[in-house]
Amino acid sequence: MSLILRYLRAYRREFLLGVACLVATNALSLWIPWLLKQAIEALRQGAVARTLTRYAFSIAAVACALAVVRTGSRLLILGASRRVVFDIRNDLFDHLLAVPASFYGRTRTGEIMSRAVNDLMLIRSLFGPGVLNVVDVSLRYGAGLLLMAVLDPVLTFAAVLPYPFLLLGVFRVSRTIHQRSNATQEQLAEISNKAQENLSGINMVKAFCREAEENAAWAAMTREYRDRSLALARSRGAIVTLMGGLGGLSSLIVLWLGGRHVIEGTLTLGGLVAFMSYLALLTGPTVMMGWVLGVFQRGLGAIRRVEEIRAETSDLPGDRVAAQPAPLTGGVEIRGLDFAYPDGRGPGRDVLRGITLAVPAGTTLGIVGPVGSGKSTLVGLLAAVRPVPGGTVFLDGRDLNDLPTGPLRAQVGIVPQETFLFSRTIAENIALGTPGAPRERIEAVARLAQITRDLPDFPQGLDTLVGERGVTLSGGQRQRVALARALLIDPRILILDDALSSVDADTEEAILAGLRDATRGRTTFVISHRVSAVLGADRIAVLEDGRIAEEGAPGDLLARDGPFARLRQRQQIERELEDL
Amino acid sequence: MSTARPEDEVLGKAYDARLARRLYEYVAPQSRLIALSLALMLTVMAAQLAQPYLIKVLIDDHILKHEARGLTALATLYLLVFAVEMAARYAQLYSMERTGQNVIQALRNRLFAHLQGLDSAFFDRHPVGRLMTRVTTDIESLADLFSSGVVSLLGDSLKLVAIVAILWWLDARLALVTFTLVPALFLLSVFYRGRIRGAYRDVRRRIARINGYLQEEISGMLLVQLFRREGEDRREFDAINRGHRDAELRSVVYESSFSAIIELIGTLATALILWYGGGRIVTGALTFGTLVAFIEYTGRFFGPIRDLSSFYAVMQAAMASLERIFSLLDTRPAIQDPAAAAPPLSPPAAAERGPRGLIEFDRVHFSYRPQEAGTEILHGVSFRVRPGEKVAVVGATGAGKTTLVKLLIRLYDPTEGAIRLDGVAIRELPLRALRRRIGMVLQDHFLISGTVAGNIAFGDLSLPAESIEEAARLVHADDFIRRFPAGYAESVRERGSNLSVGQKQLISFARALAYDPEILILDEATSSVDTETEILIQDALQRLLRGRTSLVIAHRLSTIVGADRILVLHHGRLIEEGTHRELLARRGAYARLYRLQFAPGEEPERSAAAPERSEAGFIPGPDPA
Repeated sequence: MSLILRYLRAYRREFLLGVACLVATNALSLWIPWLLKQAIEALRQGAVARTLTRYAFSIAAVACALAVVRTGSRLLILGASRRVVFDIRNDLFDHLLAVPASFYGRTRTGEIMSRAVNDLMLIRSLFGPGVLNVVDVSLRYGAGLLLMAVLDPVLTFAAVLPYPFLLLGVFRVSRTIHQRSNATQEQLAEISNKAQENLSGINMVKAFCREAEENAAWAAMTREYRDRSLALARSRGAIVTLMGGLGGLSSLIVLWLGGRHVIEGTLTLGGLVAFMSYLALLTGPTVMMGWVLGVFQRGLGAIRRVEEIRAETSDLPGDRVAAQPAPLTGGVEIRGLDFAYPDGRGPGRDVLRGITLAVPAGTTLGIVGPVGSGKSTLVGLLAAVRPVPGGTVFLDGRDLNDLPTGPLRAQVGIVPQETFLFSRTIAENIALGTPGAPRERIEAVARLAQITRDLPDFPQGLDTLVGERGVTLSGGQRQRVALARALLIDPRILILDDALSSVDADTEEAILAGLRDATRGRTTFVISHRVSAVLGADRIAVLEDGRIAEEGAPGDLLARDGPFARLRQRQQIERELEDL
Repeated sequence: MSTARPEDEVLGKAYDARLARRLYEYVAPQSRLIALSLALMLTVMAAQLAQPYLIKVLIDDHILKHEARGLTALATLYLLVFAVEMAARYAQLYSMERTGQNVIQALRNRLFAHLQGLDSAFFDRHPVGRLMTRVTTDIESLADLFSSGVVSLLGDSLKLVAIVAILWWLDARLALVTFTLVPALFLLSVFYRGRIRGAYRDVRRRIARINGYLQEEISGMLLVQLFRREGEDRREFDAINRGHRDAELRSVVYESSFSAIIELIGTLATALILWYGGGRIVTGALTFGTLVAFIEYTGRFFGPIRDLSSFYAVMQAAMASLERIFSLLDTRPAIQDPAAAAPPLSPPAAAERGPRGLIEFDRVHFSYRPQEAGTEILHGVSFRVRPGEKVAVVGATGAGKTTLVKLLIRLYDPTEGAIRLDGVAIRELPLRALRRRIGMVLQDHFLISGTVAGNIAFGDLSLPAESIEEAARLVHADDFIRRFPAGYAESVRERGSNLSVGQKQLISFARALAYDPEILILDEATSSVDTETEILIQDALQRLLRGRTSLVIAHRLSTIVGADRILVLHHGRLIEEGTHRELLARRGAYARLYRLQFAPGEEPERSAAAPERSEAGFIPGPDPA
């Protein structure tokens, strides 16, 4: 509740004005049946046409005023709800920008998207129609019941007797509707997934003559979807029936009992007509109220889930270090580093064990090793992707944990193993870390990364859009864009994490040779699954199962007939096979 | 969050007789449900329209005459009418929804089955995402046609006509006066619907943009953070979010005023009736009951008019979807069963048992895009694989190896040349008969979500559990499968993401073995697995190939050396062919490669052992004819 109030407070002017409009709306909308009552009573007493005209004009005038204030109330309150959601969405995004990799490691993208999409919709309903209807219905109930009681207290009591049941019924059924509607959506998602799976594996389906089985599985899923849709339709139907049924029941009570009252003379005919109009004014809101209760319930749940994300904090020690310039020369030292990814409960299996390495500023370290040996984890830690134990990683002799994360990352250029390009232009992708970089510099790094030679393939050169709406880049092209991106930030430490795996071996060597000038003076880490790519490094470390299996200058390692030399030999042969 | 493609946004006319006729094929089986629904609708309407009249009788005959007798009977009648309305309405809503769901289920199943029959070239041309839109979104928009379309159109129109008739009957002059507001109501509704639809479309477009941006940012968050782009992206997101908010505020303006204006017109109608009708009461031309009934009927008049204005959009969207659905259904597969099915291959008599499966490629040319010059990737490839023979195909990536496989099971037809199986051109064979004889293990181990057992029994779900387990045991998959918490019933996630690469390979082997084909095609995986698994895979491979005609796209030298014959494919041409020994003697490309592997003094144990092992499983085929 306090959360709701906090957001309401930000737009209290809109909400309060909106409530004021609602008060006016209700006063006016209740006035109309009263005018009708008076008009009919006047008619009964043989009113002249002029009186009638006056009443008709009054009703028309009140109706016009009503239209204005009703529009106003909705504009103010619904508008404010949109603004609240805008704020929460911006706020949520700010938080997403600030939470560390560990959060993204344990939270699936779909889940975060569900917060940002579905939950914000629920919150919107809470602050928009939710707040609007709660206020509106309360006002209307208060005034409506009062007026009805003035007309005929006994009749009022009898007429609203079914209402609590209506309220409860709608609340219950609307909860069921919500569940069933989710169940239907889930089944539709299943159907989508099945279609995706089937269509992307259509060749295997054909090869194994599995068409009939696939059709049967599909038919079973669509039948389930049909059944769930029908269950949903039954609940929806129940609401309609419930609403009409109970509304009708109270109309009946009014007709039967109210008719008697008119005959007995305790109620006028005009009073009865007005009474029926008031009752009709209450039926809709009662149904609405049952629905709104559900909206509040779900909206509060959504707010709580969004708050959970907002409560996430960074686990990087560097994020708590007061910002201070940390110009690096780029010397890296690692002493007895053990590292494990947390796996839900606590630290998982060690991915790195007792790593000790010294990479003097300006030198190049090549890292090779099988898949899963910890290569990417190791270099990621240098860019403070995950927190490291204190006293294990040093940059220029200073503990990594004592360096502020932001300025540290500004000096580490990393080309990750899995290239990620944004749906922007190639130039914008290159300038990811340096928005507003001068064009010549972007072109210079594009040349260094050998993107320039592919430019004829792109309709607008470097300004070609990447992704679904633009061109699809090949794996090798993507990797070279990522490389240019890292070069553009002019880092002291450059990390190439198997960054050229998708280009062929010759091109990789050519690019690396071309980079030699660019990397001069930078501390460089080159991870590659190709031995040929790291032969130019000052030193080479072979990682196996989280440990350093072998380390030394390339020449020494080749002479030693250890893991590195064996790997080299195997790859030479593989390459011959490729070139055959 | 995919955004709608332009193609899917185009809306045409709201009614197309040709499309409607084709839809009728799917609607016809539901005719009894539809008839029921119509009958129920008429009941609802009659009950609804009777109510104001009952009120009129109540006022005129009882209240005004101070006649309490019969009041209870009238109230009971009202209750009855009311109960009938509610029951009929519930049943009507349900029967209509059921009709719609039955129709779309049938259409969806038909569409899916149709897709199963289309050829691979079709799938190359049409992205999966777009085809998925057909079976999901497009079909869904048809559901709207039924739930809020056809029948309610009919119902609303009937109701309008009935109300007009009743009002006319009650008092023609008052009715005329009341109807003066109808054009205004209708025009306003149409105007607002258009505006609101436009505004909502804008909102949807912008929310799709927000979601797309968010999705991308979340996926690439590590990069955003590593490259310290937070500030820039915060500004970008704020701008996109702001655009969405402003679109929302625009839609709120229409939304807020629409209901208020409709309400206003309703009240104006009441005022009008009061003014004009009241005057007629004074002159005695009208009773009080009629006046009240008039006000009640008018209230029921506005709903249908409002709904009618939304019907056009529903129809338009449904027709656009139907157009796309039927045009997909009209696509004929390029590869079909032969018109006159060749005489089914008689089951081999006991005498001629033994390996069958003579594969012949006869000057096969192929291009994935035959219309475009320079796209040919096989240039007249000829070779034969004799029954029981084990042939390895080697060559660089892009040499056309995988294409050979696709041609053999007729995922595509060659542009020139012929492929024959046991002397019969495969074009002449029923597809199922052809594919049933050929088992495949592809590099991309295609696993479907379901159970491990279901993945092994992929081609034949009726396979008994023992056969599944037997197949798994033979390829060494049984051990690890039994170690799963649920054993063979362990669920496999989409694309087998919860299994290791080695496990996936062995399950694929088991699948091929369970399929028990005469001919086995294997596209050897290049992905690396640990040594222990590698040994298991090697052994499983030997068992899999034993006794079958096999074509292996080989990447492991041990497999290559173990083959009976080796085809060296280079840029779509066969450049060398022969046994391992022959090719070595020829001192060509293959020989060079082999010598590299067995550099003096470096003879690795594993590879040296391979030829012997394969020779043990060698089954001599008949001499070439």
